[in-house]
Amino acid sequence: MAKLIMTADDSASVRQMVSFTLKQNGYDVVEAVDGKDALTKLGSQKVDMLITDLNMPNLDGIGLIKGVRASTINKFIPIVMLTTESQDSRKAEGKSAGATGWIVKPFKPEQLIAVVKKVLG
Amino acid sequence: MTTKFCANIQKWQAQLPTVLDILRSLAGSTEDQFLELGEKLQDFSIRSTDISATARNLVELVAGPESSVLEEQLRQLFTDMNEYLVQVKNQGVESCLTLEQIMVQLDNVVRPLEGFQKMDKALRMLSISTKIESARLGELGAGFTTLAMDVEKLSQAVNEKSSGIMSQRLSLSQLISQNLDMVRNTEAHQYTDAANILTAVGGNLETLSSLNSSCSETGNQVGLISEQIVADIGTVVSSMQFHDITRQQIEHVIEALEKLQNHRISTEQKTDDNCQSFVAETGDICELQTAQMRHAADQMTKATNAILESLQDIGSKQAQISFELQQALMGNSGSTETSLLDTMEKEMYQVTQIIQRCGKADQQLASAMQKVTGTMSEIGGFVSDIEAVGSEIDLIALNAQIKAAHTGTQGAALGVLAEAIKRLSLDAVTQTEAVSTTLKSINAITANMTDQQFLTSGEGEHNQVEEMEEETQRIINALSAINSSLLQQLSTLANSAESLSDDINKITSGIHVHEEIQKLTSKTVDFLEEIYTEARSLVPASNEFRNNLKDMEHRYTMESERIIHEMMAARHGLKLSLQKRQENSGTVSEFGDNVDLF
Repeated sequence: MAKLIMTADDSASVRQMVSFTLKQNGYDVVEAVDGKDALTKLGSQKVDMLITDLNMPNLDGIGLIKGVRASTINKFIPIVMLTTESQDSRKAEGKSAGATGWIVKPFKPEQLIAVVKKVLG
Repeated sequence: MTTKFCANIQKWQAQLPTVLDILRSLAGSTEDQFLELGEKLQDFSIRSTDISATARNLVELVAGPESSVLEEQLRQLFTDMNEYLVQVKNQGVESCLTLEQIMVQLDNVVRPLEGFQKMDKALRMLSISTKIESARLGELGAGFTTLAMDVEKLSQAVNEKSSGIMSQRLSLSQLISQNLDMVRNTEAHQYTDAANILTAVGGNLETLSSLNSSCSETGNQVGLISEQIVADIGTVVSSMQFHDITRQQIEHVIEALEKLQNHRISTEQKTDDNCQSFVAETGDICELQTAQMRHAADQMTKATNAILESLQDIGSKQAQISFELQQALMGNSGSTETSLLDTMEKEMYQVTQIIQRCGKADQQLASAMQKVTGTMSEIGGFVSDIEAVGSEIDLIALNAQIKAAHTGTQGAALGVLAEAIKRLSLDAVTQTEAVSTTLKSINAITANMTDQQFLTSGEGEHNQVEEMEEETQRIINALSAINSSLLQQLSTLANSAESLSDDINKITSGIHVHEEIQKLTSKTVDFLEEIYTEARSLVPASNEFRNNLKDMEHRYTMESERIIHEMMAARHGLKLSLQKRQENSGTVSEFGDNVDLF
């Protein structure tokens, strides 16, 4: 069975490219338009991995990571930030919240897939 | 001066809402176009993957293991057919020689057989003369009546046997003539046609072999092109994200300009110093945001151009795959109606037809040769009978001489008849020997024939032809299936590649989003440039700006924004921390310098 990955981003075009890349490589994808939407969906659905933007309305990426790590069903999934932000301070903030990795946009499809394969084992 | 500073501030603040409106429309208006483009990209990618798969299938079909095995079997069959034809041709030549030799011998039989017919007449005459003389002698010639009847019976036997041989000779001669014609005809046409077609098949086998090699090369080429297409799709995916990146950059410019717009100076605060300071700040912000906007627009234009070029590249590369396979498989004709496999299929069918005819001729010849040996054995029987006739004549002559001697002088005439019978018996021996010798020669030839393969191997050869026919049919079926699949897939490939290329061209020629962005950005940049040029002419950049730059460095979240910021700082003689940090950091993750795994 294909692994299920959630992409959370307020930009529809970024979600589209992430979904396209993952689906092309045999993964199933569920989309969330912001952190709040993602957290709601993750409350009732088990996924194998989360790829999230940092700056989103309603709930940002850091808040989302904290929420997921505090949840039950997706508590231990790998979470990779996919953002335009590249400051070390922000990366440290993400890491401390529980992020597994950090990708600065724009990503190349082969990079994203390599990271997904690595963190999914 | 104060009035001038304040008047300009008022003018710029009146212009800023227009600039902000343009920027806000830029930040949010292009998402739908990019989403639509993203959907098209998915469609193009799926179609492109299908085309690459069809191309790989085609290469596998022509240069894969199934084709290699088939080629090897075809080569073996080609060798078998060649050997069979050589064997049958050699047998034909040998058969012709044998038949020609028999014909000569059969001609040699004619003269002695004619002698037998003369002997028949003489015997009948002698029988009549003996009867007359016997009647004339009355009591004395009574024993000669039996002699006359014996001579008559002998004449009938001679007639019967010699006519039998003559009749057999004639039918044998006709049979041989017909078969000689058939063998010569087969030799003149079938073998030559078969040899010509087999030569063509041999040539095509070599072409098939080189086709397999060139197809394998094309397969590698297809693989490389497919990799380039994957890279093109990757470039599009990366470039598509610049829509979001640019939107964020524009939002940062909007934030900076909104801050400037919200910075109002009340009438009481409009002092010389305050206004001058505000002009300097306006110059600082507008100069910096002009650079950021320029960079964002350039980045967006580059990304969109990369999307257009990559998409067009996908279309042209798939068309190239289709063309190269078309060239490799169909040659320069460009026709999808005929292919090498198609030609070979037809040739193999023709060869089978000829081999079938050769096989039939071969069987016919074997059957004729068997008839010849059968007839020769019958003739052999006649020869024994004729030899027996010779001995009988001899005995009759001796008996006649004895009876004539017993009769005394009155039987002198009968003595003459007995002499004549004796001479005939000698003639009969001579003729019999002549016929016998000739027939023995023919028997020797036919005995030699039975040693040759074609009399005994007719059935075996028939099986061989049947096996070759079955093998040919199997190979033809396999070739036909490959050929049909090849033509179908080539046609699908050509249509799919053409349709993809057309759709990509249609879509890319309709993409003008980057031009619209560029146009609106130019308008914004012109506004901002005008403001900061005026501001700088009133108040040049100060140390305060350099300090501001240092403070503002932390506001930028994107690397590219910070780089612009740094460049601006460098232009004003300031080296910022980012430059220092970049110089110090050299570690790149295994996934690229934009990826960190914790």
